[in-house]
Amino acid sequence: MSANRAPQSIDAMTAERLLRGESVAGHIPLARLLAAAGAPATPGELPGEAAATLAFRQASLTPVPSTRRSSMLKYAVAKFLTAKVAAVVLVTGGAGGVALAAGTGNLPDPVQRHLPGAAASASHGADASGGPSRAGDQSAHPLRGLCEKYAKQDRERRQLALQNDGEFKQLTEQVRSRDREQVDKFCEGVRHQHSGAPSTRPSNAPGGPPSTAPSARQGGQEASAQAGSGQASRSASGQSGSGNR
Amino acid sequence: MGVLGHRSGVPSETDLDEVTTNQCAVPEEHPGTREDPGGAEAGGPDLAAAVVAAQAGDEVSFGLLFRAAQPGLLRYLRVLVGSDAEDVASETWLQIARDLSSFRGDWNGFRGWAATIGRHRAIDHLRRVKRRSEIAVPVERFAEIPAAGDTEGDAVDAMGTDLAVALIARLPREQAEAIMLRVVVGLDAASSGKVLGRRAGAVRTAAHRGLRKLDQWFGQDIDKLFGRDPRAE
Repeated sequence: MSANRAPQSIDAMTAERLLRGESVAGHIPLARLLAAAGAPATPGELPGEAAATLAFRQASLTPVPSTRRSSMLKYAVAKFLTAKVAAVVLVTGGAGGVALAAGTGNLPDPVQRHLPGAAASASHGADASGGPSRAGDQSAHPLRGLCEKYAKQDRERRQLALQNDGEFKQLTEQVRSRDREQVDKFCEGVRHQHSGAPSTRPSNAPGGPPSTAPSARQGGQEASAQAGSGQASRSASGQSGSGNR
Repeated sequence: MGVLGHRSGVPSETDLDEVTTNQCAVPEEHPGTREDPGGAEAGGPDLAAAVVAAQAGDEVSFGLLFRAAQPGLLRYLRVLVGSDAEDVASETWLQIARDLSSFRGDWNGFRGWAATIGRHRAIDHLRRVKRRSEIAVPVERFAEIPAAGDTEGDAVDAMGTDLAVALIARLPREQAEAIMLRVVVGLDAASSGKVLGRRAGAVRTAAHRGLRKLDQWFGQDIDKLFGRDPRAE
């Protein structure tokens, strides 16, 4: 390809016109090649829409802790209920007739009612991180769920995500940095702190009895001493009473 | 093409490097001059609105975005990872679906953003597989490349998208990427530069070089073109 500078070489202006899709005299084959490359989509080029839509639905339903998201969540749920078509296609593996029936609301009730559950279990299976971290311990670090989710990303994705005020905005705010290593470190700590939490609870239990036992003994001694003095006073008053009679 | 309207022309400062000012007199991108492979042609769905609605969780709008962006994305990825493009496109869409709420921009921005994610996923993929799988186009089809003088170009009319993309994929990667982002994904030089992490001028130069090379390929002997006898395989 040393013949880069051929006499009829395309100048920059011509190249720009070709790149914009214009047909340039003397370069018709090239223009057509570019047109072929940029031709309208064929149905074969649209695979994966169902999977992408499922991921989208899952992402829409996963609450990102921010006030704006709560209304978005409601909106997503409302939209989801109207988007039965996609759901039925997923559930039935794309039976066209059923999808049509669902779209027009003509599915038998049990099928219609089954849909949200089916989608929920599907999304749960696809990514378990959303559920546990959300429903999980409120006692753990408030950012623990987010950190778990964050830790599941590969390095490059983490880096990319931190540059945007997206789902990990809270982390960048907390750490006051968009530096991946710092956020990594922070999340490591948060996650470690959580995994350590259950082991601190049992360690309280052995500490309990030894400390309560002496106080119980003390209490018992006091009680018996009081009881003894009571008896003594009663017998004393009894004696005095009988003496008075 | 109201969607693309606000991006019309006005080459930026960086647009001017490596190309003379005179040559840049033509606006960088002419909305409507090219048929958009993504389906955003005039009268098509309002994709700017679709971006907004999808960010609010609207699945139907997300579907619109998918159908509009996927063909260009898939072809671009084909140039990067060959026959693994569909897998990489799937990964790309998973990430788009997940991160869409953090995206800021319009339809053009969305296309560029999607291409950027796709490119990252493709690079990840190439690291994993350590090689690019060639696009499977029957070698006989390269014989369809017409001679440069063949201005009627019936053969080019018959040239399918696959073959055209496969040819572009034979270019050095930076040239192929520049052409694909501009012609197929539909970005201008500046937006393509953002995807590639390069200046607009550099992207433009790469695209021009690629075009010159493609032009030279027309009518060349296949064996000479690819430095081997493809039929021997």
